[in-house]
Amino acid sequence: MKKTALVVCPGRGTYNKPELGSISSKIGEDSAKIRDIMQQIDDVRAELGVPTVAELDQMDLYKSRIHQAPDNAAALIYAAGYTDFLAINRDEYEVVAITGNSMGWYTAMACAGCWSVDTSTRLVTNMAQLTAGGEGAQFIYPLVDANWQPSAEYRSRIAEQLAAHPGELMMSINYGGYAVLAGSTAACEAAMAALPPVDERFPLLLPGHAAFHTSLMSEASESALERWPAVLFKAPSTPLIDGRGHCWPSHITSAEALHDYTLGHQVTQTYDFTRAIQVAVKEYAPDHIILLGPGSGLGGAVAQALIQCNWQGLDSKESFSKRQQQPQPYVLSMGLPEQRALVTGHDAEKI
Amino acid sequence: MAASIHPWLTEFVQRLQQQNLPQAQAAGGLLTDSELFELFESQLASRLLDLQSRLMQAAGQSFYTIGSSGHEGNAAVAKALRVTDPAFLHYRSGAFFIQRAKQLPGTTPLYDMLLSFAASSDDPISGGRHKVLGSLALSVPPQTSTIASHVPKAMGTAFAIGLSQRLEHQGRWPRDAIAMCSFGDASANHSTALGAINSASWAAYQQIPMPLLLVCEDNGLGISTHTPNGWIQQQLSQRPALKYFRADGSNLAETYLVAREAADYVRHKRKPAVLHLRTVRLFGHAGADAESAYRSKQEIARDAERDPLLHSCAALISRSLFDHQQLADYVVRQQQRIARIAGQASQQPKLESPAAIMKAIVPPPRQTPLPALPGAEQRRSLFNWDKHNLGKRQHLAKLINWALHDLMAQFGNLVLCGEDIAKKGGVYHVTQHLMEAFGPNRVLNTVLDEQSILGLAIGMAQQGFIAMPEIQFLAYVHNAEDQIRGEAATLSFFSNGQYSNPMVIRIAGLAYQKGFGGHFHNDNSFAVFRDIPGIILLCPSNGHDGALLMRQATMLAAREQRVVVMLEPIALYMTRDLHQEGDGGWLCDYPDPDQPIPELGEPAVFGDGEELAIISYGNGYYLSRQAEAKLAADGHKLRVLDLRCLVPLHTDKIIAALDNCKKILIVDECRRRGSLSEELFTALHEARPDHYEISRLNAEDSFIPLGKAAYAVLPSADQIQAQARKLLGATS
Repeated sequence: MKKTALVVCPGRGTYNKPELGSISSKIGEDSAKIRDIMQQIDDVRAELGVPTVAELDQMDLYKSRIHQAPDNAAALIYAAGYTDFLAINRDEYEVVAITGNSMGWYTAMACAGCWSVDTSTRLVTNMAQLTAGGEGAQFIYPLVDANWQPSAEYRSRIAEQLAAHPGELMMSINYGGYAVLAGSTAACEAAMAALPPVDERFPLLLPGHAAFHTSLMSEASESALERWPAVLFKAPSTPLIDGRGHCWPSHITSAEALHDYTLGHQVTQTYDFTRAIQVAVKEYAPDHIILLGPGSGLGGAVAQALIQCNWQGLDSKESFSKRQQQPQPYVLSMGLPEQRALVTGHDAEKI
Repeated sequence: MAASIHPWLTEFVQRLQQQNLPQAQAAGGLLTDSELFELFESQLASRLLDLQSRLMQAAGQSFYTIGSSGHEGNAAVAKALRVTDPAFLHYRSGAFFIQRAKQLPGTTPLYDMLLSFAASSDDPISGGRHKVLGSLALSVPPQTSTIASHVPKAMGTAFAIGLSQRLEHQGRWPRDAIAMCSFGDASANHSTALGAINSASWAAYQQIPMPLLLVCEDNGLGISTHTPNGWIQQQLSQRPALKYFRADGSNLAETYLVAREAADYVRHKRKPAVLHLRTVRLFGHAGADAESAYRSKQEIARDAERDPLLHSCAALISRSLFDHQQLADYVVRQQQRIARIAGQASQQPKLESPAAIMKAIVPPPRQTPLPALPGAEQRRSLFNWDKHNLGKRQHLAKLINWALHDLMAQFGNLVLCGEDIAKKGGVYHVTQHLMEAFGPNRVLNTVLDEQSILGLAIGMAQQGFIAMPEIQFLAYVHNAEDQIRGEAATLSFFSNGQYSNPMVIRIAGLAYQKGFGGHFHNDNSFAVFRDIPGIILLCPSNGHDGALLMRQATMLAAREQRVVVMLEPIALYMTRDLHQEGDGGWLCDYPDPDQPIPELGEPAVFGDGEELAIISYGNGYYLSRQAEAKLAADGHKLRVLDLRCLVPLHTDKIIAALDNCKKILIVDECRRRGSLSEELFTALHEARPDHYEISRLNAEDSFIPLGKAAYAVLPSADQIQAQARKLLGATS
């Protein structure tokens, strides 16, 4: 009997220096179908006059200016995620639901077949350009302590800053044990200066990011709604859970509603990744959670979301780590060679 | 367990594969493809949950198999309503609940319902206390009623939504919300349902806003008893000011169309309507019910053909949204999904300790500060109507009345309701002038129906008012006790403290009315309240305490969200004298509004003697004070305790008030059998075994007769004196 899986697609900031070359190297492991999809993606990129994913991924050096340019970063993340999705061994795993974080929603929709490869590649590129043109900044601050237990103090600090900058600073993403805040550059700067440092890293500014998932993205949203008609949207072939925790059933769904959410609410309102994960595990009860690449940075946030609702008795970083040490970890990250091998059925050493 | 499939599902899937479906009903363009599918998905999930609950029960993982099978058309009713419309659902409303959850992203109805089936403490509504359909976020207060005892509070909620608008009060539910209540055809015969429906009509007939949508889901059976053909239509279609709608629950498009029409009518006209939804009942009444014992095979087969799922499948296929095999595959995948979720839910923790179970009997206290006391100027104007009495000592009825004036001025959300309480001021004038002072929207005359009065109070309280219903006579509460026992008192318990209905139920009662009334106006039993967890019963014997306890009761409702009963002794309402005519010994000064309120359960103590303590309350306390005076004249040193708080008894505080007294006389004006005296006797003995010498004086185990004969069965001051002397004599 196949194992059931929830697939989670990563958001921005997951393709970094260590991931350089990862897409191309992994393509080698799998089928012609993946090569074909990659080719389709790169054909569109070439047509758009922007660097292809292959070019970007195979550059000798990781260059922030190039690789973190919004539409390049988005394309790399989308392509890495999508090709990982195609690499899942379907003889072993039945994907029962797909969700994502932030721009991972676009990857999730692509994986679920809501768009053609052509549309999704163009839309991902265009949305990155539109939102990057928006104003503001985005930064991270923790909500949990070192053992991933909720910290009332951190939460109240964040609430204080949100209250201090009404309409200027918003909750951008509920990201497991982290709050991603966004808003005007001035509000972000003021809030970051006011927030006491944690772990010498936080508050952490996300370079190149604008005020994603806030009302400052309204113009980008309006342009996108105008540019990308609902007729391009199809019902997902696999259920999707969006950034509100809403479940979109497979087979038949309202294209208009999916269009309005994806280019409206999703762009301008808080993205609740934590809720999406919690809804997904509760309403689809998968045997495993598969995290697509690039990288393996999603694991912490997913685990923190699970711990927050005490899913399957997980109540701390320690209990999660223990659970992961089983031969078949609950969360399988395709960015980690050993776990990837469990998902793809390909020997880790060959990757 | 995950691999188990219920035999019905196997047959259903085969039927799909064999393309053996009824002809699709015409749907017009009413539902889009995605809407039709969304509703079908809710219906299917509900059915699969029913089947799963039976598998879980067989595995010892679930405990209540009554389900929604055949009633899944109610998903379309949910779609016609808003998530902010409070829905009081009966137990066949699984599809309604799932569909409503789709209106609020981020909810997890399947997992939550399975947690409820598994009685897990993680169940977000009842915390593992019952299999209920409920959710705070979805405006679905949990109901455990199987006999339509939730209809009065739905009526009360509808009224309260209108009242919020009139009083510009910020209620839990918005002013354009409507209350919805579903019940079965058998329950539609229950006097509780009929009383509430009558009250809704009664109000609407007078143009009082009553946005109530009643949904009678008529499957033609009450367990094994057939509902006569046409009965529900006859019964519900001919009521004044109640509009009747009818739909076939097997037809999603028709149900949605009619439900939307009915909801629009209720929402825009603010008048009640009933939606008569014809359904079928599949798989018997509940898991253990073998319906073949009382229904013919043909009958069962006929209902099976009206299965709403079959008809919804036919509709999907007729629109070419699925072919038969695709739909069969889809159904199987959904079953696997439900089974997986059940596997997780059944492993979740259960309630184990009494403390964990009982934690929700009392809702959590509110943290918001209480409103300020009325200022001097406001009070001057408020009490101007009675200025000739101000500053003079008054009887109980007057001082309760004054306290109500102050409380209504302080709490803008305090609303009184009851029979004859408005212009008449109540049969004993306790609510005199309140309507003039606070208007007819805060002092409401109700229909003569105690179930409706209490249902109204529950509804108002859930909408955010502090409800203060009056029951005219204690005997009248007995035909409506379930509204307190089964509904108001259990709401916090079955919602894990999330819903509450704070209220003060004023009841005029107890005996000793001079020659008046006989039993029904002199009922001397409140045993009905004594075993209800969580409720508080206060009983003042004099005006001073009447005012203080009324304030205490209101604070307990306002701050701690409690259900409080204020038992007011009728015979003492107007009593002025204690020992002899004209002595004014039972008149009291009105305590200032800022006077401290006694600690809950703290008895009032008269005297500090240690030879003997008399413990009593109400009329018994009054008579004990008369007896004490005579005993004191003979040189005995006694103390007399007025319990004031009768439920729950605070034994520690009573023992503290007894101090060094060892001889105890309990004077209880209620019957020897079943009265408070039994509990008090036991509690004292258990607390300090063989320490006290306790004697009881009670009313006889009789009903109260008319005229002077009443006194023959009630304790008298002379009897108290005699029994006290007997106890005192035992020392010498």
